[in-house]
Amino acid sequence: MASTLTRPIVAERRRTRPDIVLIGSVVALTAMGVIMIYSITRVALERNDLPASFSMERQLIFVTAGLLLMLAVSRLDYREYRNFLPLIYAVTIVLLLVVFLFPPVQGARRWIPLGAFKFQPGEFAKLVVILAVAAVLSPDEGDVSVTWRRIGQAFAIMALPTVLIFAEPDLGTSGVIPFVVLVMLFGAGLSWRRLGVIATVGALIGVAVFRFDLLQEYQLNRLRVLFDPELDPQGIGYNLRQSKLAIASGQLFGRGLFEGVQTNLQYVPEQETDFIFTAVGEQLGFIGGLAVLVAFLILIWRILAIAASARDRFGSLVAVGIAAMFMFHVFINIGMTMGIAPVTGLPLPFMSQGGSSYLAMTFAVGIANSIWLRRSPTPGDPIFG
Amino acid sequence: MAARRAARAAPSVRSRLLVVGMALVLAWAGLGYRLVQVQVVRAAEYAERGLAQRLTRKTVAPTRGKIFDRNGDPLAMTVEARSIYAIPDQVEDPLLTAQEVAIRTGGDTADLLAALESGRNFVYLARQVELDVAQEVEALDLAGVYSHPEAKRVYPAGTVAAQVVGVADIDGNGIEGLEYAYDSALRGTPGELVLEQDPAGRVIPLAPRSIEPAIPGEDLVTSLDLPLQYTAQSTCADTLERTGAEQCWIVVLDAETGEVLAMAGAPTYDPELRRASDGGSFSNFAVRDMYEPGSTQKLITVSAALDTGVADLDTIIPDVADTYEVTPGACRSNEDDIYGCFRDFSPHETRSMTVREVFTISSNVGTIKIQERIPRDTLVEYMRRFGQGSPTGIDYPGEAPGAIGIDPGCSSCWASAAIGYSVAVTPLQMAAAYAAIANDGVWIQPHLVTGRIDVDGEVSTVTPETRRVVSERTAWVMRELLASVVAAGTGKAASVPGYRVGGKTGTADKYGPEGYTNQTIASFVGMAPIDDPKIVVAVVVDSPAPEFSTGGRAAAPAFSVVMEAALHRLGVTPDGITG
Repeated sequence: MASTLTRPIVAERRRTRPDIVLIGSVVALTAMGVIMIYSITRVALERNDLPASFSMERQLIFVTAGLLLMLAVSRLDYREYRNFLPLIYAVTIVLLLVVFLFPPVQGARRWIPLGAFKFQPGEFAKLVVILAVAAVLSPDEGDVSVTWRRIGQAFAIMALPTVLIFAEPDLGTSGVIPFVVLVMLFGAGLSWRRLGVIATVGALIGVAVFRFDLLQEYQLNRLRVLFDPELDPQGIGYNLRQSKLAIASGQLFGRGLFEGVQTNLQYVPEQETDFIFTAVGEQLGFIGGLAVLVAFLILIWRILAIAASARDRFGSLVAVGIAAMFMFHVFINIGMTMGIAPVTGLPLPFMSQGGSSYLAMTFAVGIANSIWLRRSPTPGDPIFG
Repeated sequence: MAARRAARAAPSVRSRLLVVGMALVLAWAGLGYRLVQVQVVRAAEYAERGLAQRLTRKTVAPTRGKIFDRNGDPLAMTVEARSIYAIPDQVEDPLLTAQEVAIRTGGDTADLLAALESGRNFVYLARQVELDVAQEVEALDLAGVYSHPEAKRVYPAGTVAAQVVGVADIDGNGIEGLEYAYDSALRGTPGELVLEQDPAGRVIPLAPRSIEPAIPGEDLVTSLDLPLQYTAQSTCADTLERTGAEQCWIVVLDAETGEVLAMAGAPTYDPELRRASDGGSFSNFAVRDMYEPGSTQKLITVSAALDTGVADLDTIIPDVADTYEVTPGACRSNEDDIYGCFRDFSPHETRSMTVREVFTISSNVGTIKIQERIPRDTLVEYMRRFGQGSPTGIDYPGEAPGAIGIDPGCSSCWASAAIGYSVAVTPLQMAAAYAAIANDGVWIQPHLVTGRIDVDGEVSTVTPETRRVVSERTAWVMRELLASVVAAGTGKAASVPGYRVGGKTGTADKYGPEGYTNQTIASFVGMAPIDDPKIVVAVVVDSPAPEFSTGGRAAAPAFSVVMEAALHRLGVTPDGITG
C-alpha cells in the first residue's frame, strides 16, 4: 500500500531530473574538443606571436554560451516550437539568403559576419527542418500514417534550405538534411514500399547531379580519392593521406597529449575544425579514438531512448531527427578522417572548433533533454528506457 | 485488444527505432573496425610513411685533405671562404649593385651586371672570396645580395710544385695531378644529417634524428722537398732562358727509396689562376711525355753486357771506326744514316777501345759493337728490367708507358736501341733506370706520396715495388763508368764541387711529325755521391738552340745546380775537395 502512495512521487521526481548521461557525454566530448583545439593550434599561434591558448579561449566562449543555451532550451517546452514554426522557417530562409550578400571565404558563402564572429545559419537550418518535418508527420488529430501527401510536404519543407545550402556550397550540410528527413519518415512509419520508391528517386537525383555537372570539381575529386587513396598524394589526396598517417601514428596508446608530430607540425590541414579526430588519434591513440566513438554512441543511444519514451509523436520524431543528425555528422566526419567516407566540410559535433556548430548542436541536445523532461508517464520500451 | 490498438498507433515510432538503433550499432561497428585497422593492424606501415615524409637528409660536406711536402709545408689546403650570390628578382638597382660588388671583389662590373640581368633566379657574383671581403659586401646591405660559406682550395706554394700537386676545381673535385690521383682519399666521406621538417620544409628545431658526421679527407705527405722543388723549377726556367729551349724537365729521385724529391717542368702555371693559364702547361711532362733518350740509353746496353759477362770494363772492342754499317751499303748518303748506318758524334781514326773508353767518349759505333755481343732477346730483356716499355706505376695520373720500338723485321733496330733510338722513355723512367744503378742494382718504383694521415692521425705508409735489375758488382762498375764521364768525358759541366758525381749525357735528334728534325733532345742523367749515391737527377731539355744542342751543354749545367742543391738539402757528406 505504501508503494502505491510513494510511486507517483518517485516518478514525478524522475521526470524532472535532466538526462545526466546525455549531458555528461556532451560535456566529456566538449572537454576533449577544447583540449584538442589547444594542442592543434598552439604551435601556429605562437609562431604568429599570439598566445598559445588564443583559439582555445575563443572556443571556451562558445562552449559557455552553448551550455547555457542547452540549459535554457531544456527548460522550454519543446511543444511550443510548433506554434512559431512558420516564422522560424521564414527567418531561416532569409538568413540562408543573406549569406550570399557577403564575399566568399575559401570559395564558399556560408557565413554572416557579426563583428569578431561569423554566424553560419546552415547549422541551425538542420534543426528547423527537423522541427518542421516532425510537425507535419505528427498531426494533432486523425490518421498519422505517412501518406504520399505528407511525404511531399516533408520534402517541400526540406527542399528550399537544402538547395540554398548546396548552392553556398556546403555539400556536407546539404547532405545531412535529406538523410535526417528520410530517417524521420522511416521512424514515422513510412512503408518499406514507399521507402523503396523514394530511394529510387533519390538515386536518380544523385545520377542527375553527376550527369548535369552540379558538383564542383573539388567535390568530385574528394569522391575519387575515397575510392583511390593513393591518387595524387600531394594534391587532392593530401588531406586524406595526412589524416590517416596522423591517426595511424598514434597506434594503440597514442604519442601522448601535445606530443603528436603530424599535429604539431601542421601536416593535417583544417585539423582544428573538420579533422580534429586525427589529433585524438595521434595523441591519444586507439584508446582515445575508441573513447570518442563510445561517447558518441552513448549520446545517440540516449537520444534514441528519449525518442522511445517521448510524451508524444512530435517529441519522438524530433528526437529521431536529432539522433539521425548526430549519426550522420559523426559517421561522415570520423569516417572521412579514416578514408571510408568522402571529405566534406562536416564538423564533428561538440569537438570541432566553431561557434555556430557548437551552438546548434547544444541547442539540439537541449531540445532532446526538454523532450526527456516531459516524457510519457508510462515507462518506455525497456530497451530504450 | 485495446492494448493491441495502442501498440499499433503510438508505438509505430518505437518499433522503427529498433531498426535505427541497429543501423547505429552497425555504423559504429564499421568505424570501430576501421579504427582498429588503421591504428593497430596497419599502424606500423602508416607510421613509417608518416615519418618518411617528415625526414629530410642534408649532406654535410667533408673537409678536403691537405697535401704537404716532406717537411710538412702545405702544398694544398682548404680554407674558409664565402661566396657572394644574388637573387636577381630581389635586386633593386642592378647597376649600382654590380658596381659596388665589383669594386670589393675585384670582379668586372659589366660581367656582374650581365649576370644580374640574365633572368636567372640565382647568380654567383663572386665565389670563394676571403671572409673580410664578404663581410664588406654584406655590410653594404644590398637588396638581393647574400653570401654563404664555401670552402676554398688554396695552393700556398703557388707555381712551385703546381704541376705535381695539380688542382681541384671550384667545386672541390680533383681534376689534375695528385689532387686527381688521390681524389677519393682527399675528398673524405660526406656526412649526413637527418632532420625532421614541417610541410613548408622548415627544419624543426629539435635535435636531429641522426648525425652521420662527415669524415675529413686524408692528408697526403709527399716526398717533395719544397726548396729543392723551387730550385728545380727555377733551374728549368733559367735553362729555357739560357739555351732558348722549348721545354725543360727535371726529376730528382732519392736513390735509396724511390721518393720523388722534385719534379719540375717549365713552362708551368699558377694553380690559383688556373682558368687563365695556357692549357698545355698543366701537364707534367716528366711523367707524360716520351722522347728518344739517345746516349743515356748506353747505361742499359753496357750494363747488360757487363751483367751477362760478354764484356768487362777493360774488354777491348777492336776496330771502332767513326762510321758503321749495320745494313750493308747504308752509309752511301748522309740522309739515311739512322736506318742501318751509324756514326760517332765526332770523326776519329779507327782504333781499338776499351769498354770504359767507348762509354766515356760515348762512341755509338763502339756501343753497337758491344751490343752485338749480347743476344738480342737478352738486350730487350734488360731494357724491360730497367723499366722501359711499361709505366713505372708512380702515383700520378696519366703516366706514359714508354715504348720499345723493335720489331722483328727491322735488322738495324737492336743497334739503334743500343744507342737510344727505337726506344721511347719518359724523363721519370730514365731517372728510375739510373736510380737502379745508384741503388746497387735494385730498381725501386718512384713515388710521390709517402704517407697518408687519416682523421685519427693514423699514418699509412707506402712500400714501393722493387726488383733486382743487375748485380751489385755490375752496378758498382757502371757507377765507375758514369764517374769517368763527368771526370773526363762529355759530362764535365755536371760536376758538383765537393762531390764525386757520375752521369751520362744524351743528345738525340728530335723526332717530329715529319721524321727526324735538326733539333735535339738534350739530356743528362746522373747521381752523387758516386760511391754511395743518394740522389739521382735527370734533366731533359727539348729543342735547345744549336750552340747548346748537346746534353753536355744544355742539360749538364742544370744538373750540376740541382744536384748541388739536393745534396745540400739532404745533408749529404761531401767526398772532399775535388778538381
